[in-house]
Amino acid sequence: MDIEKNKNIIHFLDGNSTKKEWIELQKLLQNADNKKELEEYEGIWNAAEILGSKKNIDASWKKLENNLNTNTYQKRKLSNSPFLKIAAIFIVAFGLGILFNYYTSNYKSLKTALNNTKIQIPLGSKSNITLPDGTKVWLNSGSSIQYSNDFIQNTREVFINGEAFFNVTDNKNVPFIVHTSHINIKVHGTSFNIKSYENENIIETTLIEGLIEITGKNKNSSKSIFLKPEYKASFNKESNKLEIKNIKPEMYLYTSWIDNKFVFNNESLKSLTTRLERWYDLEIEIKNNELFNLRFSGTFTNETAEQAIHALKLSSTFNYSIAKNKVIIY
Amino acid sequence: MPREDKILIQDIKLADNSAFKELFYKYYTALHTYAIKFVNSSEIAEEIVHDLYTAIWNKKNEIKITTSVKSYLYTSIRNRCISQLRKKKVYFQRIDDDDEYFDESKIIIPVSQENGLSALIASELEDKLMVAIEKLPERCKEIFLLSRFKGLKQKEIAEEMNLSINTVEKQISRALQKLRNALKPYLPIITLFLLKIFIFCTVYKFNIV
Repeated sequence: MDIEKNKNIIHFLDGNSTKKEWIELQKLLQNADNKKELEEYEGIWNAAEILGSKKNIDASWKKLENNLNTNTYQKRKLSNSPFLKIAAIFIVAFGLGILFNYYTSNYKSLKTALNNTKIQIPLGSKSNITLPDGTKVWLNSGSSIQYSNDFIQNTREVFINGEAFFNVTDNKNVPFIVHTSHINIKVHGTSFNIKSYENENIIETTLIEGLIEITGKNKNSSKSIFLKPEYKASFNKESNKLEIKNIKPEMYLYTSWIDNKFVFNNESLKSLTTRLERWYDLEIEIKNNELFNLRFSGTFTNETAEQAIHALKLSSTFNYSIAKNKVIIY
Repeated sequence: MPREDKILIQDIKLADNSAFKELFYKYYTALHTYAIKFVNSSEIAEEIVHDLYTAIWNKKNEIKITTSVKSYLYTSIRNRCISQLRKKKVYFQRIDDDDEYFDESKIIIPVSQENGLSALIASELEDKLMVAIEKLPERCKEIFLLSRFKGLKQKEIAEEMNLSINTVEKQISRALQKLRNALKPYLPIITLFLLKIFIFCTVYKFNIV
């Protein structure tokens, strides 16, 4: 072993070569074998440094994560929100004829122009976010929200696909507008739930508190309706009709998901299936059409998908089999 | 895919934890090293970096960054270091005007992050390297880790462990030889992916001679 050579290399790696050593090293490097050897040592030297800094970062990150305020940092557990506790009773129905072709095309062009920030929630999970203006948005599984990067400067506009609960920060100067595929919702300081999944025919808007203005995206109809608290507006994409209904006695049905509860009340198996698929990220196939209209009521909180299906089975007559993420009901 | 700094900040404003973590990992080592230059203590430097990141997270809605994110982080660290020094009534002179430490081009981001090297290759290499290091003889390992993981110079290791510099050099040389043997199949990848640093060092050292 060439001690001088090694010493030279070690000094070079440590950044402490003397001028004499440096000149010596240049001579050594003329030899291809020496050059290869030095390169290999340096590779290991640097790789070990990177590895070391990664280990240090990991340790430091863990420390920081623990120190951060757990309330604001960790995924907030969706729990009782005070604004959900509200009451009153009305039943009203409106019809709103809507032709939406024109607005559908508008919606698309606007959508591409605003493709700057998009948040997509995977099936089987839920999340909440805070928009730049402080507005809180809870997103149910399989939903997405999209908004422009200059959000808040001129207008506050977001696009929703799926189900979301909004608690909008009051700012009278900058209107807050929620776009869905078929209707727009202008918000006048409020909390509300919107459910607008692409694969569902009904867009449901449920107002908890405040006031919202719903407008169909129809060139022939500039008509908009104001929704009062504890009302639900259901827009039918096929008939272009908007139906408004008071939902006070069962308001919790529309907002319980943000408390991580899957609540259903006299709901058909067909409708339940769609929701369960999203909630648990499952695929459910019903082999017997007669089962579609079976009705169920209940609440799931911590149940697994299997426990949930089993619970439904117990109160009914069907059989089921589960393989991976696929459930067959027969 | 790593996100651009601006995008990271935007996502942090949306309470995106993963963006926050990415921003931390991207700059931690560089900011920590930078802070050490002021406060002369690894622990205090770490605290200062943590304080900055805590503030970024807790006040994410109020943050307005007009410069590059990188400048913002460095300037914030510097200001925090200075106020730390003031608190301790440490005497310092014209440190505010001293921009010698703040040169963006000097900030080196680990190669594996910079060129988006396949995470798979990188993590496999890391595992192999860690296993090889673990197998080094006890004292040899200790010295090598002080050098590479703690970033100590050989002279500093000799002082800390109360050894002659000769012994330290011998142990490091030994460690390198053992690692080279243990990692034979990986050497082409290791040199390939770190060659950039090698070239950089060569040019740099040539100039200073």
